[in-house]
Amino acid sequence: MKPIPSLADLAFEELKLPHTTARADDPGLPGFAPFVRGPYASMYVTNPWTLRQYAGFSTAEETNAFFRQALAGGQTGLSVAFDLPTHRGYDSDHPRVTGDVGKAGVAIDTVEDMKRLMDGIPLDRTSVSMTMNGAVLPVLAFFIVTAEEQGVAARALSGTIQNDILKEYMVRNTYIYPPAASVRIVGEIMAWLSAHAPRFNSISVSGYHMHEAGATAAQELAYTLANGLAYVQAGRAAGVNMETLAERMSFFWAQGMDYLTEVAKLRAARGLWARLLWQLGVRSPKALALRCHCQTSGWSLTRHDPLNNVVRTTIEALSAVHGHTQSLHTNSLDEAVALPSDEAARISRQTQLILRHETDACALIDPWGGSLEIKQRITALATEALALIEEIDAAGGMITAISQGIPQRRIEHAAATRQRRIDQAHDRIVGVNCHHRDNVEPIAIRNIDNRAVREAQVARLAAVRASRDQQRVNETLAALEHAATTGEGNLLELTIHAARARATLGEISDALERIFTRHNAVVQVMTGAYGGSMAPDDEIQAVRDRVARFAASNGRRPRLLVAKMGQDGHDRGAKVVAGAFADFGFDVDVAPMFRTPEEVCRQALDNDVHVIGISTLAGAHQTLVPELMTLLNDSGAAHVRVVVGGIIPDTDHDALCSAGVVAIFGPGSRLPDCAHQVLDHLDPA
Amino acid sequence: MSRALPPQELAERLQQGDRHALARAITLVESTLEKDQVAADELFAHLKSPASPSFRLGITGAPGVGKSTFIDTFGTHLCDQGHRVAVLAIDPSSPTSGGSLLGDKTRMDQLSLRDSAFIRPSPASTVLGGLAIATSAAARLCEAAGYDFIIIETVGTGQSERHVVDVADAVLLLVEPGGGDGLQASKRGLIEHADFIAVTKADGDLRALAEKTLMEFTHAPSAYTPRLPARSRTFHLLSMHDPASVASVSVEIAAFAELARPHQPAWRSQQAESEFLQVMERTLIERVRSHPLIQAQAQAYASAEHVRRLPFVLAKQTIDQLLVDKAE
Repeated sequence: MKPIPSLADLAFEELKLPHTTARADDPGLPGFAPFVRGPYASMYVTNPWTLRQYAGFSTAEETNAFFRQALAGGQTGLSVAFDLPTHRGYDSDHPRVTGDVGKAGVAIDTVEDMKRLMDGIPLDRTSVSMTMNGAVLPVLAFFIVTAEEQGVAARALSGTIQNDILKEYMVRNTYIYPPAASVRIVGEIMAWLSAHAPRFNSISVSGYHMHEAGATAAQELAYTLANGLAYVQAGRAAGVNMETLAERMSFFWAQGMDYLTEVAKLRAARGLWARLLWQLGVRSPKALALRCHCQTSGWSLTRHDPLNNVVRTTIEALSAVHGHTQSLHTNSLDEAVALPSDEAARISRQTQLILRHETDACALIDPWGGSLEIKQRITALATEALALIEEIDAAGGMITAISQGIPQRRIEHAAATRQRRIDQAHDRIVGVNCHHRDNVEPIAIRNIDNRAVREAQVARLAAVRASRDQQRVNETLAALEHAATTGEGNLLELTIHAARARATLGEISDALERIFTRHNAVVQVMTGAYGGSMAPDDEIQAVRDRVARFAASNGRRPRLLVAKMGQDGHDRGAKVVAGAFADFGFDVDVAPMFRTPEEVCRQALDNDVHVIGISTLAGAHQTLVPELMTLLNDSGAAHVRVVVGGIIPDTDHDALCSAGVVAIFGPGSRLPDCAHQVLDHLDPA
Repeated sequence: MSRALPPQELAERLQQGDRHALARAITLVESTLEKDQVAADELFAHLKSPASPSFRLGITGAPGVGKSTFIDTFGTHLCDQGHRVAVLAIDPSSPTSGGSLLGDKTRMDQLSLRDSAFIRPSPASTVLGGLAIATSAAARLCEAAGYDFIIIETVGTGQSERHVVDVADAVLLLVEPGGGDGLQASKRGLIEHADFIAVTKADGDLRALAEKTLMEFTHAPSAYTPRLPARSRTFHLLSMHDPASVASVSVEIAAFAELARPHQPAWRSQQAESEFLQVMERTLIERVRSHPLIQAQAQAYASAEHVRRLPFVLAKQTIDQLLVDKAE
């Protein structure tokens, strides 16, 4: 891959662009390059943003029912959340995914599941967004074949496929293949869609997950735009015209609680993107205009006093609107503990409807235009972002920078620093570290019977396998493998053939994995980021002293294994905890990603740890933690303590505790407190 | 299994190949508690000497050079050939917090799934008796548990480089492309003891630089004394994208291990001698530091004498006094 162009000569203030007199403090008009004030001239006055709620509940039928309800309730576009096995290219009957099927999204194994998901939804008139990056080829192919069998041609499809694989290696880890092969897939998808489905956005370059993993606004901007440039290069390599490509790209940003910064971030993003593309020779105004989707921050939601989350989401939604997003997802108040209940989902949808209908948000084109504060924030964000992009550039481009861990380290450092600031109540969160209220009524949440979902999917897979023409499946898969090896033919085109023949998602992914291999990420954890973000205060020192006393009486330091089980790749929490506990003086083992309970049990025994910390954010703990406890007991390792942290509904606590878990740490737990609790539970003998 | 299993039973289980017993035994030899050290002694008394000694390969190199990635591929290759592989990895401890991050298994994703592999990272600081001592004890435990190929991984800085030489039968030094710059200075000690030198990441854009680095090492004057008569050190290029490059290193190492067999009893006894002397040194330092006479002298020197004296003569006199007192 070619390195991105040098930006050293690109002073933000001085660049000349058409339709502007070209200074950052004169950002031009809405609808004109560099589009700082909005991608369209009349903005919401003529076209309000699209209300697009992201949803996926276990089975295709359930999700379909939710979609129809949402469309009837005023939603204007669909957005599909898939379960983790689907993301990672595993069929629901794969042995590594027993705890994950139907968790955090819908399970899709074959075209038949996709047909159930879209049943009764007119795909020529409904824009569909799909959050898929790893198993992007089979999922997109299933969607295209579903439309085809509904009688809708690819040409008529509108929507977006996320298809942003690079950020997966940085923060979310739902990849399958190594980076170079994955970027090739992105390029070929862009090529096929631009030729056959010109209304479908071929990529949604996402900063959202970086923000949620702890990235600062400038980091989110810089790394997302740098990824965007890498995809432009990939599309060019696959033979797509750069302007056509840029016209079909969209971006996806998070909206956190720093209201003014978020308003400025969306503006800075448009200004920077226009300038970066201009440098590459792009001239069409439509291509230069960055269009985006926004989602309110899930990380900003709290488990304590959850009704407060409605307020947070409203403020975040307003910053997205004032930053000029093209579509918006508002989170539900219960998302710090579970997938949204029907009632919570309704309130989150209504939040947007109230903004649209009851406020004057759509009455003005650009209410924040001309604000000195916003201008200054744009300049500050853009300057910092350009410096970060230059660092990536100097490393030889994004793929190399990722393999060297450059963006990952910066984001992790920001996350650990932020955690420390919250633990010290330096950054205030109402109901968490200040104005705490006890005895808050628990809210009713959605629970998923993961075993039932899995059994149903396994039966459906068996039915599809029994009724298809196996010869044809083998031939289409062989053709796909051949293309992966030789580079001849388009991978999406060939995946569509396999999908028509009813090859499963797992079979398609395996065929490609045989050629591309499966990517194993190295988990990087930093010490010093948590304890070092300020001088060790009395609180950290107190933990260290207690750890030292433990070491003196036990002959070694307390040893903790931090692990994630199942296919959940959100590892921010695990990394922050591992780094912080090392800063507290623990010896910390870090397990590889995507472990099974057997593998975690073995590592705990081989390393003779005192305690295992399981991080869980996608619900797999219900199945996998009891399995781990049984394995530990059966191996004679009942003395190994197990603690669980992450997103754990209150309703799961009893089951986990009776399985033997000694402590549960939800969102908002202070790390020094967690360390003391862990030490309380360690056998002093 | 109860945590406090009697040493004899621990020894028996360990020799039957019980991984959990091996893990507990390693904890015991690493412990700083005197009662654990006594128990460890008793455990060793119950270990039978193995039919043939294991081969111990030290692998060292700067952080980030690709040691664990190499061990993942190399160790898996050894398992495929029927070896039982133990990896003892020493990770640095933080000087400020005393804690450590032991992330090696994240880089040994494949090897950690093998039943015939045992991977145990240890924090450098807990090893009170010195790195080499606990590591060589752990290696003996692995040997007793039936592991015939033992890999000792260390960060190639400071003291650990010497220690790895003391416990290993051969040393593989991994270097990054461009890593020959410090050839004359800091890495010298390491280079002189390496029986194999391999430049990692020799693919893609870095291939040419890797080749150049290898040439620098090949032609650099060196005080290397071959451990085995008539076998000079070998140089290699490694690429994780090229399985043949790993295979070629492993062929050389296997040949070395074969030739080393008759020498191993003598090496073990040399290793034991240096092990004993190191423990003596450590013990002496600990005893001396905690001795009331020494502490009193140190206080006196710190409070007054340092303005008119240097410590050298005073230190010698103090030691003499201590030894004379003991002799009487």
